[in-house]
Amino acid sequence: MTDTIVRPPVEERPTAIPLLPTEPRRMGPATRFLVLRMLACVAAVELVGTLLVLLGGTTARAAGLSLVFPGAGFLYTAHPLLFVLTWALMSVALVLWWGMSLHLGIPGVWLLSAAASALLANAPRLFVDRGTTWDWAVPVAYVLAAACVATLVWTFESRFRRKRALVPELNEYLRTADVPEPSHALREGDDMDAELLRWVYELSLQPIDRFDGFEWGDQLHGGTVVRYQLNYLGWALAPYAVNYIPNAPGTIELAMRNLVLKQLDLRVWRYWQLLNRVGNLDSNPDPLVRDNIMFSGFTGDQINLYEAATGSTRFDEPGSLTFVWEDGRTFAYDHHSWMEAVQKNFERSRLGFFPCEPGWAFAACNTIGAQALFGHDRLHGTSMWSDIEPRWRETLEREYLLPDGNYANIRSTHTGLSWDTGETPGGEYFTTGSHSFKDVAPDLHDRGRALSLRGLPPKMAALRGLISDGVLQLQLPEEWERNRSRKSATPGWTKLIGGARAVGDDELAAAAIRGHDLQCATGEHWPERPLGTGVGNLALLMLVRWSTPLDNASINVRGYMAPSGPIVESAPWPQVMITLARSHDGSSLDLAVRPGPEPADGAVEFTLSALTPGADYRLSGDGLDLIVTADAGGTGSMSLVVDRPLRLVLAPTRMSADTEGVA
Amino acid sequence: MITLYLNCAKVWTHLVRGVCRLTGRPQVTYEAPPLPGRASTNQGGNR
Repeated sequence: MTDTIVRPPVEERPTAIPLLPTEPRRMGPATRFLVLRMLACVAAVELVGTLLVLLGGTTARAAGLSLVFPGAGFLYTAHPLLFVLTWALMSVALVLWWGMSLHLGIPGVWLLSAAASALLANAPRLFVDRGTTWDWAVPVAYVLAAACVATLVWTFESRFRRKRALVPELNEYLRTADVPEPSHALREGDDMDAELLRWVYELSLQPIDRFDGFEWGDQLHGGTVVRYQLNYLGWALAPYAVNYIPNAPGTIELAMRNLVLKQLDLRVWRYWQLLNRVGNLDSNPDPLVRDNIMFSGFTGDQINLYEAATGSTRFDEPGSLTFVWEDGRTFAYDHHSWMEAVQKNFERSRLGFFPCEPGWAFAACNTIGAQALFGHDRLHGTSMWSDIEPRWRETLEREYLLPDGNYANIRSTHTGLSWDTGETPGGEYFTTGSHSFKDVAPDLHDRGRALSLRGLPPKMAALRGLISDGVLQLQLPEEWERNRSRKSATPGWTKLIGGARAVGDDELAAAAIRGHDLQCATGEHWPERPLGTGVGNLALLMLVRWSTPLDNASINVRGYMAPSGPIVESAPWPQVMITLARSHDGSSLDLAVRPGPEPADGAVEFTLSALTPGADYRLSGDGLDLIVTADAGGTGSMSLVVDRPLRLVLAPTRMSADTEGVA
Repeated sequence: MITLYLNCAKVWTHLVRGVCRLTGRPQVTYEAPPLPGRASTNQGGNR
């Protein structure tokens, strides 16, 4: 049997779905401390502003009013355009606070408006006489400040109460829901799968310092961030390696290895010094030592999956993951020390989750960081994850959980604030990370999955009526990609395929895959794209497409498992490409091979191992029929003319099978 | 969770686009920037 049909261990999973707290808190203790600290600071500013308003002259009153409400001093001194400018700058400062950790932006604009109000108190006015003051601005400033606070409190409280009111109904659903089992179909792969694999091989197997085909642009957020493109591609190849070609790991191991090594390229990680300088006032460029879980956690997870899917331990070697900075400084890591850096960051964190960009702790990134520690423990028998697991769960459940079972996407580690930043729908989700808690918190996975599937099965069933000739006859609308440089229907199809899999509808999933290919395939080959979408979305489609029967959560739980049955040790890329190599019985091999991007003129040599020593094997299919004889060491070779896609079976001949049985 | 009535991700994208226009650089390019002088990865490539 191959490893592809092994199910993840489930013996420790609870049978009942955990219910939602019936008396949820508004915020957890760490968040409450941060919010109260922030409110104390704001109250102090209001107090100082009020004292200046009450006790000072025109200049002090203008400054004080701008402290009471940013820019209100400009209204008092009859500079209304500067008031508008203040709030435009406050909006930009808010975005830069989130976008590049400019923590001093909002307080800076606030204080600057106070200073400028004072300086301009006696300056000429644009439309009115010099020295004019608008006394009505004093009550208006306080009304605006009160309205601002009231609006924030109201949005927080109304959302909280609305969600809390749902708890009894949701808990009843969780108690009684018949949640469908997800799909575990063993796919064969089709021409489009082969084209996608070929494209990602071309992308990955170019020299390490070449990035042809990747999208470059802003490296802080969005679709042009290269580290995420590398993560997603690595995540997509892991299930292909395990589900489709566990018995021919050669080329895919190299591709996955290169995707990790490309993360060490300075152009990929140099963004960190800018963020560290701006957000932490720290110029250390080392990308792992402080914060930056969106790099350390994501890539740590990528390294685990590389090891779990291929069995390669090359990144366990000291210094195998070394960063070289602009001035020649090096930061040497390996798989183990990389994960130790992640663990130390978790342990140092006051909140329990540690930041991506300085000052911003995302639930998604901290779940992927948890996956990384979990995977390392499974592969190496360490206790990094188990050491931090209780605190991690406490943070997730006490600090991030909303009453209706959603988790807040983001939290400021300085102020305790969370809001919908536009990155995820509503700024919240029922499950997160790239494994949806399936490995790190199976019970929370079950609850989140049940909540997210609520009402979905009937919608999916309704789509079945649109299947014709095995194709889901649907044209999905094209949506803007994150960087708004291109529209694509692929993300919508990815969600639909994932939804069909989630409700266990294999037929619908297969039809959706074909429907997607009909709508989105370009028919082009490397260096052009097989799909009209960005690298990130292309990789996410491949990830969903290839994640059965085992997904990455299951692979993370399983760790590496050597395949049984014959192994194709070498097949010369780029002359040929193996798209299927797996054994269903431990003695034969299902093999699909097709010409690579640089096909050979004649026959190419394949070497085999893990054969029964001295046994004869028959290779047959697609007009081929030849005998391969294993040597005493259990290895063999075969020459094949691969001028078209070949679907083959390598099986022991009856005689050698009988001999094996006698022996 | 509070509501700030501002889609930071969307505004960020527009800010990036604005900066790119000002500096004459494309928002998305398919060519990697040049590798800075002394730095390089420590691993060889393969194909």
